[in-house]
Amino acid sequence: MLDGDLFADLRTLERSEIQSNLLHHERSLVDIDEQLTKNRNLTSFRSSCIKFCVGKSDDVPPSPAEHQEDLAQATLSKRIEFNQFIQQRDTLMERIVLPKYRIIQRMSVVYEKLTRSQGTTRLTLNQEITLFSEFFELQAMHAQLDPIETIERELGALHRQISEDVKAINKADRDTAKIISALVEKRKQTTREIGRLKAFLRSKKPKSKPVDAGQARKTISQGGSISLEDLGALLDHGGLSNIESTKEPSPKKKKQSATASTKATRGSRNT
Amino acid sequence: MQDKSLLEVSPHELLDIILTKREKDAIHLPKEEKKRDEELTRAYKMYNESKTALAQLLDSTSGTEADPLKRSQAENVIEENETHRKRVMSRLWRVRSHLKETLAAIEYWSVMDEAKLTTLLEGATRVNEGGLSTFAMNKSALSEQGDDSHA
Repeated sequence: MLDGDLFADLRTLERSEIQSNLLHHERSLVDIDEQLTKNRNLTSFRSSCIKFCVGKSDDVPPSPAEHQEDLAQATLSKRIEFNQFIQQRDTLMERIVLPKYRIIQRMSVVYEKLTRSQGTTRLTLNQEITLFSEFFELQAMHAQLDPIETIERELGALHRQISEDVKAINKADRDTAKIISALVEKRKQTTREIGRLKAFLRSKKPKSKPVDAGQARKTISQGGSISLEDLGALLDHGGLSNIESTKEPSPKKKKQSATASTKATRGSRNT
Repeated sequence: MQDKSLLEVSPHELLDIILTKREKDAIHLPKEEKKRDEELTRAYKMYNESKTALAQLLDSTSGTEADPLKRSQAENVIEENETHRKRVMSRLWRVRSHLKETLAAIEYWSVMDEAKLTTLLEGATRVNEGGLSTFAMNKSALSEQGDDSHA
């Protein structure tokens, strides 16, 4: 064996064995490609999930049909729920405007004005009527904001859970990235091996054309000459006994010119 | 009053408190009015006296020029008394106006029926039924005005 011989390990193997080896590698390449696609889709899905979950994107990523990613799916659901709570809170605050503590502060001021004698700056009847209405509107506003506390609590809990989940997804994604790197490396090796096997098989291919017994038989039946290899092939395939004298109709001989050519021609003698 | 207990005040309770306060004012204000009235009488008297003093000074020096210092002092006293009189009168008018307002308020709050109360509680009812608060309406009106001015 020569040093640096690329095909050293293949030289002792049968052609069929190498071919089966090639087939095996081609199958495994298809496998690797499938795994790579699956893992890359998974990474892409996780990345979209994280973007959505941290609020960098408003579009809910479509869940991939080909694989199940429970953690990312669960986090997505949590973020959707979180967004719903935010919307609920915003809608409520758009209606009420003031937060609870400001409502209480304002109620206290209004109550003081309505119930305490304030020396020379006494209220007019109209001011009193307006403040009376405002006091009870503030009371109603405060009551309307009761669900806010529950919403804020839920938002806090969901926010913590989503943060934890995003960390876990990121960790899983790093693991997947390692798998993808390993698969890429494996794919490189497999492709290289396939190339090597194909190259070896190409180098082992006979250079001359295989002997065609049929063609040899045809040549004999037409009266032509055949080589030794053709003869061997003919003997291997039924011998000379069944050669039919199926002479192809020879092309019409041209009228020989009166003056025969003096040129040398192959296979016929000039007489 | 504790902040949280404000949430439990009913319209009728607040109405009673307002009415009680107004009735107390209605008792107190006539006394104050009388006091201011007497004060005004005194202020008028002082003003008139200072005017008489100046007239006497001018009469005592008939034909000759009055002492400029004494004349200036007398004129200053008149001005001071006039300012005081005006101030006292303004106080009296204010007390009278408060008294009038108080009597009108007592009349308004003491005959409060359910229909009137429902009108007063329109804002609260709207908010309870899921509508916008007055603060929200004012805010959107303000932003609309802002949009219009920018357009």
